[in-house]
Amino acid sequence: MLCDKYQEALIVAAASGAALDSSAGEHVSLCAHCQEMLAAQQSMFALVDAGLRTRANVTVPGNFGHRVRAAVQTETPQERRRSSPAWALGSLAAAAALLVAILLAQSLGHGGKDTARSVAAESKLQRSALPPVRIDNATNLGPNPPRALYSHGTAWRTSRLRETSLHRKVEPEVLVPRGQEELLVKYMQGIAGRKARVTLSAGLQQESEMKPVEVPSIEISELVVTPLPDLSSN
Amino acid sequence: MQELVLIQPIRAAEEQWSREAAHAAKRREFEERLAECGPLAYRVARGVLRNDADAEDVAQEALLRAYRRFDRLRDAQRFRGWLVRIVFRLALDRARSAKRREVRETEWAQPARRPAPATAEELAASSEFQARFDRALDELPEKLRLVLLLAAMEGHTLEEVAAMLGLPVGTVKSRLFAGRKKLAEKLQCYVTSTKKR
Repeated sequence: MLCDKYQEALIVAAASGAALDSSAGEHVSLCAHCQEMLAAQQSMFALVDAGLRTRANVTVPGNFGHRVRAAVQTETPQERRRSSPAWALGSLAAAAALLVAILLAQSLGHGGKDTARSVAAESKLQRSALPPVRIDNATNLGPNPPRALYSHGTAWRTSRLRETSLHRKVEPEVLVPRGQEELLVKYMQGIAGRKARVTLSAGLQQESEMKPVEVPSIEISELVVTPLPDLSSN
Repeated sequence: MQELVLIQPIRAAEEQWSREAAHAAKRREFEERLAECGPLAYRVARGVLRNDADAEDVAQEALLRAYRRFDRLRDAQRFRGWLVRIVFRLALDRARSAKRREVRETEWAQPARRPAPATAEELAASSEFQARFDRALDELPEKLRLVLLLAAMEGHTLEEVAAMLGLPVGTVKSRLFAGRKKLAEKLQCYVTSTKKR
């Protein structure tokens, strides 16, 4: 049938809104059935487009942006780091280095407690990333002589608690109770924000078998660490 | 004995500052992008799910994922394209699980009988047509559906849709035509029913 021949052309014309080609146009102008068909297809596509527009252009709820912003605010740096493979690799490397340092300390026959070993390893790791500190007037302040390898005790007695003069610009290092590093960092942020010279008082807990040490004031760049008054009475 | 940790507070503080500053800058930049693309994400999700609450959840989830990957998505065009695709994917997943639930829940439900609409306008507005239209749209292949939704959104030219999806404009045009044609075929019974009146 001739009308079937033009059916596809009618659908294309109805969908695109374009004019029919000459032969199809001539046929439609003479065929009432095809005119009706074209009109039906045009209304059909209009219906489809209206349905699509309705579905695609919904009003966004007013609080949607706030909800997403609030969700973003609760995204903590730890959560983001956890998802990063680079961070995972870094953690693995750090853990491996820590393990090697502990094994090295054990193989050298260095006694001490586990906690001291881990801190020693940590301090060694941190030291390796820093320029060496030149220390003048080194005096042995503890009962034991300082050793070449850092342990908790030696690092504690020889490097931290003695008067030092820094001939280079070196960042000061501070021993703080585990878990309180963040607090000190926050505190330092506050200090730097005020750009003021401040004095920190350091309270140190010692092992019972260790003798108390004389701790003079230490001036590290602009940071002065002073012992608590009751430290020497322990 | 108390365990002590050796730290460099000033360096650590500086590192933390720079981290926080970078974090704040990232957040600001993301919020600009959120204002620009948040409605798009919501509308794509809503177009698939037809449910406000689900659409909000899905769009929010996609935007959070975008935030986590924001370092790699700073380019605006790349961000929009990635967001549209991930929202669409998440919305489809949600729709599939919702559909399974719906099938279980409606197995015993009886369809409500309403009087037939008299005109095409009434028909388009009728819930029966809407339901049929939604079903017809859901039955379309995903690639056609996404193009139809994006092209129907106000302010989107075919070139923009093509750029968002990383497709040639010709492909977008042909998908748009094929999608509309398939929808029209699926809804053909409504044209004949109004024509007869």
